[in-house]
Amino acid sequence: MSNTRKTGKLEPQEWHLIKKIIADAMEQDSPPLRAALVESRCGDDARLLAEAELLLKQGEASLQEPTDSLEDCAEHATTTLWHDELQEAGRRIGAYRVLRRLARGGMGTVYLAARADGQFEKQVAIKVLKRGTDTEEVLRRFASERHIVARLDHPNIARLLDAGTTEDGLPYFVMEYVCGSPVTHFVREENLTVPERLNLFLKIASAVEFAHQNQVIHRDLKSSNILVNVKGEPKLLDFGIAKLVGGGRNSLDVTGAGEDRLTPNCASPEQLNGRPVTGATDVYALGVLLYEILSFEKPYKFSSGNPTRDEVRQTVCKQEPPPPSSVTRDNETARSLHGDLDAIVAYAMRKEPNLRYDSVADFAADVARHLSREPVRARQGTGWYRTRSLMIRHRKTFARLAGATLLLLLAGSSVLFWSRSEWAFKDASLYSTPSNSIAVLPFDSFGEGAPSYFVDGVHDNILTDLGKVSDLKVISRSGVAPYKGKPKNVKEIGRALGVTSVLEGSVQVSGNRVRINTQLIDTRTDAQIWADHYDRKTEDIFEVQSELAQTIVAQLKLTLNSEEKNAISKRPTNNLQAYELYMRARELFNGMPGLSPGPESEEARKLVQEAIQLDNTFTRAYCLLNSIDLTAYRFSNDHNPERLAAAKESADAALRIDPQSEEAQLALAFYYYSGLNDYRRTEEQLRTIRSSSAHTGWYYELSSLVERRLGKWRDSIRDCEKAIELNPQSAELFVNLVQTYNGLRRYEDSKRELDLASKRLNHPTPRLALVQSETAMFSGDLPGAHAALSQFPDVSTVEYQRERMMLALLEHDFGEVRRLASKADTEMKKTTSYWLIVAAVAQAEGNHDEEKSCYAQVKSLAQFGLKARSNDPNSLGEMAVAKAMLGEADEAVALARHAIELWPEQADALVAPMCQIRLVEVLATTGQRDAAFETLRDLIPRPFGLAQADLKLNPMWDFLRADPRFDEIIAACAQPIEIEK
Amino acid sequence: MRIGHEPAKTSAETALNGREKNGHSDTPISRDDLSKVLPELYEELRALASNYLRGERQGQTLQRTALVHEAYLRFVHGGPVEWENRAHLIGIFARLMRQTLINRAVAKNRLKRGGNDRLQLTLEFYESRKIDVRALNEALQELGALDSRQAEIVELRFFGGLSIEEIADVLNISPATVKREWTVAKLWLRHALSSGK
Repeated sequence: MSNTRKTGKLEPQEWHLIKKIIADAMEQDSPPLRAALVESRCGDDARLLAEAELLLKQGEASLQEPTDSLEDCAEHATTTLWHDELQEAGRRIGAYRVLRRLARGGMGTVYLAARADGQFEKQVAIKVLKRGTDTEEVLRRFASERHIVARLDHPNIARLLDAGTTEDGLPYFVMEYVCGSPVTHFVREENLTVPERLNLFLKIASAVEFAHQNQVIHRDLKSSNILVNVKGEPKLLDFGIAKLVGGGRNSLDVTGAGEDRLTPNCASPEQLNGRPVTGATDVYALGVLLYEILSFEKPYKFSSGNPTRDEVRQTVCKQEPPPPSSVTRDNETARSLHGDLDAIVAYAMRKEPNLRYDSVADFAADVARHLSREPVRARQGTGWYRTRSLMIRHRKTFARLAGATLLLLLAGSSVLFWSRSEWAFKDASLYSTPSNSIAVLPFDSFGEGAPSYFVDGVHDNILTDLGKVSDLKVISRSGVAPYKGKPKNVKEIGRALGVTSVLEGSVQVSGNRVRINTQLIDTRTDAQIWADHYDRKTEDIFEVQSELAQTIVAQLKLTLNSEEKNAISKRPTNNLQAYELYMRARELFNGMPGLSPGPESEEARKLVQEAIQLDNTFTRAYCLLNSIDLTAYRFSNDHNPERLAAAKESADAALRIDPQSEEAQLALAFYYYSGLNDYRRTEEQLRTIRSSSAHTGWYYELSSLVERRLGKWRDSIRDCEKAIELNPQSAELFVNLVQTYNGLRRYEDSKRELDLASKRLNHPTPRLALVQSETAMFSGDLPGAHAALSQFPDVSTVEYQRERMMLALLEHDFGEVRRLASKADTEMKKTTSYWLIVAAVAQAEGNHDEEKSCYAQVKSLAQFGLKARSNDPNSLGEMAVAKAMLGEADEAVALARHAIELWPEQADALVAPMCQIRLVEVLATTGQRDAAFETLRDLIPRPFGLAQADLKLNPMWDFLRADPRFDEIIAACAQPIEIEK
Repeated sequence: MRIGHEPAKTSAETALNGREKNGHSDTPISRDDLSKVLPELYEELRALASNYLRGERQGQTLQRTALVHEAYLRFVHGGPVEWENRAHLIGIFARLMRQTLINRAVAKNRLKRGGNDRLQLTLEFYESRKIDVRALNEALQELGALDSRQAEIVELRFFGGLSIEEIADVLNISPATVKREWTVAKLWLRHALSSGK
């Protein structure tokens, strides 16, 4: 065998490089994206590029062909090589003709078959039991139980259709044929998230529950008996068969001849001990199943693949399996299993049947509780969790009562935090009861020698420590920040922040001594609850802080459990110098004038890295580094992937050092959200976080943002309100909330929130005014928008420039648009909005050359955007629109549809409707009006889609305006969007 | 659909999977010898590999394994080589399949053979898809020189008839990795097959 073909003389290293590039390219969605990726990754290496392009050419060609010959051959091999159906096909069993063998298992062999007489097209699965089975007995039992088994008509249970004896005397069962993979395989292959796995499990459980209601116990539940089809629907096989086969005895046949019928990892202790089989046996088996689909491991390990029955009994009846979270190989999964899910699995798998869940329904209910973040039964009675969950329930009731009373008595007053909207009210927050709540005001610096970062550090640590107390509501850091260096009226602060107590303090440093004065004040009476001063060495600063926090807890008559006590006494770092660097970095980072990375962010990065060098177990420093890198990644134009990778590394490092740190867990969640835009994973990560803390405000904010992306509008509003409670004066949070309401066309809700915000905030902020203007425009109130914007006549950020141009456009004041355009700065001209608005004006004025050149600009900007991020929905949509306007109709439509495919509603509920609107524009421009209207109609009920005022006023819609159908669309958009629960 | 394939991995096996990289030396094979021994050897080994793929292990199987294995290794490598785990065994099977097919293909050029055994069916299928098994073999050798693991994946997929999942399992790497490797390898083979003609 000689090498007759010689192409390029590649080196292995070169091949590895090319291989990666091509593999990545083939994961892109369109030829231009693939070509662009290859080109950019090969850089200047012409040789590499040439080789890669040869392969890419093959890749494109292969995608064009209807079939892939190599794949076909491989597939053919999989069916030809591993099946013995050559001998078996064509064989007749009863009224059926065997098509091929499906599987061979302990009980016998399963065939795919069809009616031999062709009477029915439907294919069935036939299980032929193996020799040695008592045929007559089995068939007798089938006859007597037939009516029971026939009753099992459930979408997730495969029907048992018939039974009989083969020519050579073996009993067989005819069952509904199910095409799918065993549930554990499915979960792995589809890479389901933990919540998705749990939902699948719930379907399985409901099928088992259904059978139990019909008095049928499965007795042999295991992954290979539960197949999941391509639609993700599970089907349970072999219901009733175990009883028919193992039958007369109570247990599954684990003695003597039927030994191989036993699945070591699924058999319950009672089965192994020959004790009665009940519904609890299925509960146990479902526990094993849940264990496997969560951890991808089996609960028990045996010495060999074929252990003796004694070994199985010894192991299953005596050993406690390790918790799923401890055996999974995936750290992230481990974190989400830790706690509830470990407990649920352990509860279902208890050795003693009557100590397990009472029924499959109970088991399922607990899993559902976990999914909806309610306390699970499996963890009740185990220490702190019970106390806490009872307390939470209690608080909930209290919150409702308190809310209702307040509503009656003080309707209309601004004290009403809870009456935001009737349907959000029903879910009054778990944390809303102000029975014990505190605002730790920023500390003052006394005398000289205490740098501001040091003073802030002391404050921050006390705030963080108090945040670890679950029974105490603590206003978040940013919530108290506005009071820094201001004279304090405690009563007023209490009212504004909704807290019952306030902590004030000052810090003085002289030499190596630090002196801290604090006082705790009851805001309702303005009375001092407690005051003290601490005079210590600087290096004892952490001890002072945790001592202080513990004293406050005692003064508020709260008790700490040991977990909380430990958390509070934990030092952030043992290295004071590292701590100082960290605090300086944080001060710099928090003080950044904008979000875009500048010298401050670089400097902060350097400082925090130095801090980590001094103490590489400094969790909070890693968390800060994570924020710095993520911000730099997200808000820079080049989206430097190194920053993204660094952000992941620091989040991972933080979690490695302190897996319990909520700040670290949030850092990872933020990485998923901001870095990867992976909202499902963000949500999943957020679910793993439970305790309340100083970061809770941020927790709810992030939850609210991600829920919005996932289309969970109600949850998003609720969590944003919770965040606002912990940070009542945050303009940013109000902006988020108002934007959500605007997307739902609930402008009245928006206005109410804006009113509340302006009462809460002493000064309007540019961001808030902007969203105020937006709300006014949405409700068709253009003078109102002017009024809002005129609060900040001197602000000329890109957002303000765009808003002003947009407003003039809606007013059809084209002269004003042009005036604003001529004043626009270069940053503004780098936005597609600028060119799209100018193009609209040019079109209205009939200036087609100018219009064209505007779209050419849009095109090149979109191209730039796609280079940075090939699936960027904005750029894809804008590119499509530009192409449509420039006459590249087919490409435009294809691109717009491509964007819709890339961004389905489930992936991003904010982006998906925007992609649809782009498609409408493209279709309308390219003369496909009917299709355009069809898409428009789809958009009517969808949040973040159409707004009536925009449809009415925006000249961009003029190309559809003459059509009577357009008026129908406008009329249909008058109503707010209802959100089902 | 393939079910019943849930081998319980022991830690020792995992370690072996990681360690063992079965290099594909290209020992020339005498065609005459092959034609005598191969069909039987092939069926035996296929059955063994099939059992292993299903995770079935029995004492009886092990004894047969030893016999077949020894026969095969003497035959292919000319000396004793220890086979150590499932991956290795299935790898050997894929290897044997590959060589047997090539051998058949060559023989076929000399005289048309009948029969409807597995190998024959497979070859006919290749033919229907315009795949020249010898050209493919050469291209695969070339790929093996650049990247032995990738070539191994192709061998398991194409000649071993394993699914992506099964290969991942056998080689103890992730299915995603196998899929990437296989995708790119296919393009390489396409290129080689189209330019080699």
